[in-house]
Amino acid sequence: MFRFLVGRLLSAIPILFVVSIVTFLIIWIVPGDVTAEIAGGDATPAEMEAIRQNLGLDRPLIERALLWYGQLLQGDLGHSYLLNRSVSDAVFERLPVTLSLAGLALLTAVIIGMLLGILAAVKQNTWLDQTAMIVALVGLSVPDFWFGIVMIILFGVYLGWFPTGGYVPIMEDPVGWMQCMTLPALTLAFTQMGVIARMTRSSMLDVLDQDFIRTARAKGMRRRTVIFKHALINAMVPIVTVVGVITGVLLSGAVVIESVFSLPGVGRLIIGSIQRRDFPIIQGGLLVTAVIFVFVNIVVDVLYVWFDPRVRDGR
Amino acid sequence: MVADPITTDDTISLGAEMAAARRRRWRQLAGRLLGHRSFLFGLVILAIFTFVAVFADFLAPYAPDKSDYRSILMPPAAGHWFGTDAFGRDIASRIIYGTRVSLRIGLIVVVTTGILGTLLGTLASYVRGLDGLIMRGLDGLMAFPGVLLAIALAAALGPSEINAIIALTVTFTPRTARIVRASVLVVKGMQFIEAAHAVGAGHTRIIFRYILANALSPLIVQLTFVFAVSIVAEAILSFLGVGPPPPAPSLGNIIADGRSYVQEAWWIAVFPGVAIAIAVLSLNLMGDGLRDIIDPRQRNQRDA
Repeated sequence: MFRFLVGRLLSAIPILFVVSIVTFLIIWIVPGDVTAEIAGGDATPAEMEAIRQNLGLDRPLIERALLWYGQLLQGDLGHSYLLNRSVSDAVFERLPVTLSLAGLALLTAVIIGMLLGILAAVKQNTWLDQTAMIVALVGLSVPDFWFGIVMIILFGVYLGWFPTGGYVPIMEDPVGWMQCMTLPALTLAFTQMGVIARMTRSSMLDVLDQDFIRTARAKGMRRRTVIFKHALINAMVPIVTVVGVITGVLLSGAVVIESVFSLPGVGRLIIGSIQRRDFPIIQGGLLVTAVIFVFVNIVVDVLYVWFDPRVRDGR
Repeated sequence: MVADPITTDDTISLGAEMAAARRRRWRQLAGRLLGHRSFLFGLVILAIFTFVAVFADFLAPYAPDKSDYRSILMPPAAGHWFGTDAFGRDIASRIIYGTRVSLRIGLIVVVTTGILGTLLGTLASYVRGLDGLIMRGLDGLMAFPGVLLAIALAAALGPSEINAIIALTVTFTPRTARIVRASVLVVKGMQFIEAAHAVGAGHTRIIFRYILANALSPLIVQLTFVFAVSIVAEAILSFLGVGPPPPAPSLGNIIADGRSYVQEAWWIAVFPGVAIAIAVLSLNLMGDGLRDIIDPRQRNQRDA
């Protein structure tokens, strides 16, 4: 297990390298003079020069790249000219909101999605199965940011059960926090639970068809025990795969959903920075989210081994 | 498997026979697809959307950016089926024209992603020295979750339709290239390719005529899903203000307009989203059907 983990961590290095190059080059593909873009129309030549120096734009690309890596290795993501603070402070201050939103959504999607999938598999080809699969397909066809707005209109404006947006820190008011997070988390969960439900259903159907399930039933085991203890555990590997993919979708979904529900997370920081052309923040936010996703994928691989130790010794 | 040297006569009759067999196979495939309930359903809906997009000029009751200050924020009624927005513009007409933008962008992204993905995937599987380099590069691009990379790229390039297409292509190409690479590797190892080499077929001919032709199924299935996700992703870019810029309507920027009026005019945001959901649903149904029929091995793997 230890060697597997080390190998997996080492294989993340080239990926992180590409991620950092792409992030670095984002500012390079901005057409025209980035400085003018950032400074706005009414900047004095002196201000422009200051921005140029701050971003290192007065130096050749290679030198800038070396500078960027030098800072990056020390954990320095650069400086936001407009917020007048370091990018890492701004990003990490808002990260808990984004991660808790994505985490809540993941939890809800996995629980509801797996239950729907198991139900559909056990009651294969009944109306329950078909309804569950239609709900799943509709869920994965609906754009999440739009569904968020529909939730606001329905539960916020007309029914008034939840706030239409805004945020209360969990430390100040846990109930208020839950109220603020419910709609955004449900929105994200609804669009992703379908993927999990579909995968759970087909994976369960594969396993339920096998001999050892029939044996277990034949020797008189309870149906529920067979489904949850024998079938589900063996159906887990494909399910874990989609959960890994979904985590990425949820992270990026959280970024967009935060703007819909006015939650002060990394996403809203990035989107706000796009309007202000604050590129260091965009780069920093992008980099941090990608790095988190890379490590989530490593956790997913470790879970594979947990559910199916054969994976470790070469497939 | 290697054939004896064949005479010219045989080649001609063999060629005609193969063509006939191919036609028969296509007809069979079309028949099976049209017999697949959800594929057919998706195809019909997509056809309706395409019709609306192509004939938008004749179907839209109003010009999409014609404002009318006497009918601002009107709820859905006879004159305006889907209501009007804060400028008195007809939402139904804007959705019709927005559908055109969404389908156009989605279709172009499918083509560019298909070409680029095939190119990179084939290169990686065929040129041993490039495999590691290309695949690590693509892995790196896939490390950016969801459409985050597209958002950042579109933000850097500036809001325009062509930049949205570039951003989405860069985001969706890696997985497509991976799928092409995997299926090319499988086909490449098969015996009939060895046979083709043995009878002296050139590399170009082998790649295009035999390998890609036989590795096409997973690619087509993948591209159907790429079409679906590009429509959603374009809407996200427009919603965030980094897609095709206003006043030209796109389904995403109509929703963005509606975001500011959730209190007094729900119809602005709701209807364009319904249009997106139905279009994406039809593509998902078609993708599921295609996968069931032309590429059953790939079942259970859906994402882009």
